Amino acid sequence: MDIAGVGLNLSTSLHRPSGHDWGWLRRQVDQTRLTTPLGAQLSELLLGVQMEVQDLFEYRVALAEALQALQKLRQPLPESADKLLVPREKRIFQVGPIQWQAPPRIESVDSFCATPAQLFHNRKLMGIQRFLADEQEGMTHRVQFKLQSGGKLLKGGCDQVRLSRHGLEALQSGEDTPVKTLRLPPRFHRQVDFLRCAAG
Amino acid sequence: MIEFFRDACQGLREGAIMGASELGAVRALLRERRQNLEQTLPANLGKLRQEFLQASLAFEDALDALELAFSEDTPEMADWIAIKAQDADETLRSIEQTILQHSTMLSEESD
Repeated sequence: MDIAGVGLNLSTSLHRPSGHDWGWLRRQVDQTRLTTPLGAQLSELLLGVQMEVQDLFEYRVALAEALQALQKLRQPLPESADKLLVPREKRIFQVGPIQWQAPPRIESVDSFCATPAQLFHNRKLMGIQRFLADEQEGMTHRVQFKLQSGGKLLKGGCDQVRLSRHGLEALQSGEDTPVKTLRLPPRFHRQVDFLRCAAG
Repeated sequence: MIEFFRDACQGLREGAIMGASELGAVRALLRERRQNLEQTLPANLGKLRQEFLQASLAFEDALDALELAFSEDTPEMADWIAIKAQDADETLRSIEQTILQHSTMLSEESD
């Protein structure tokens, strides 16, 4: 049974005489009231369509099934996320002399808010964050690197990296102050100690 | 379902990670639930059915984003993912409310 298709032709078969024949209209209404079962009248009021008792029953069953399916979809997962997560304290950020920086902790208010106003402010903040990220993305530089261990060259090459403002200022200052860390693009997943750098 | 995203996003903010295999298991479960939903939802629910399926797909999108955020170590994405999952859950919750109200009205009127 397609709910949308029921009762589409309700009024097409009605013959209405021209002019304001209120008596005719009243007779039609009274006749409808007398011949249409109460259930159908209620369904028309509720749903805007006329349904038989059997159809109504089927519709109620369909709604109950939908509700059940919905509750199944929303029910919690068998294992909580806490059990699947490896906490920051247990992650490894150093292998031998090579160490990389842990991702920053994001201090944030609980974004699971109930009111539309809170949601709106969250989105606004996200917009600002995106804007700042785009601004930083513009500061891309080609960096040559040499990875040495005990005087032996292990790897050399160059890559495009994003520098923070602090990193850029350190490079442009020309001072020989070593930049301690450099956050490499995400695909590298590591942050190495930066012993010496020079603007090229 | 939403509890998983809530906890995972909180973990992401705090610098925790989740392995690809664990996320894969969650994805399989989500997909299974969506497929069950597609099979059991009565076809005559029309627009309601579409809303249902879109919301369940939105959960899968949020999971994709979660996987990306964990693999690229970008806790900055946590808020966005949390909002996306929250939106999907709120859609489902509002559908649930509508169905419940509708169902109650029908049973009251027909009794």
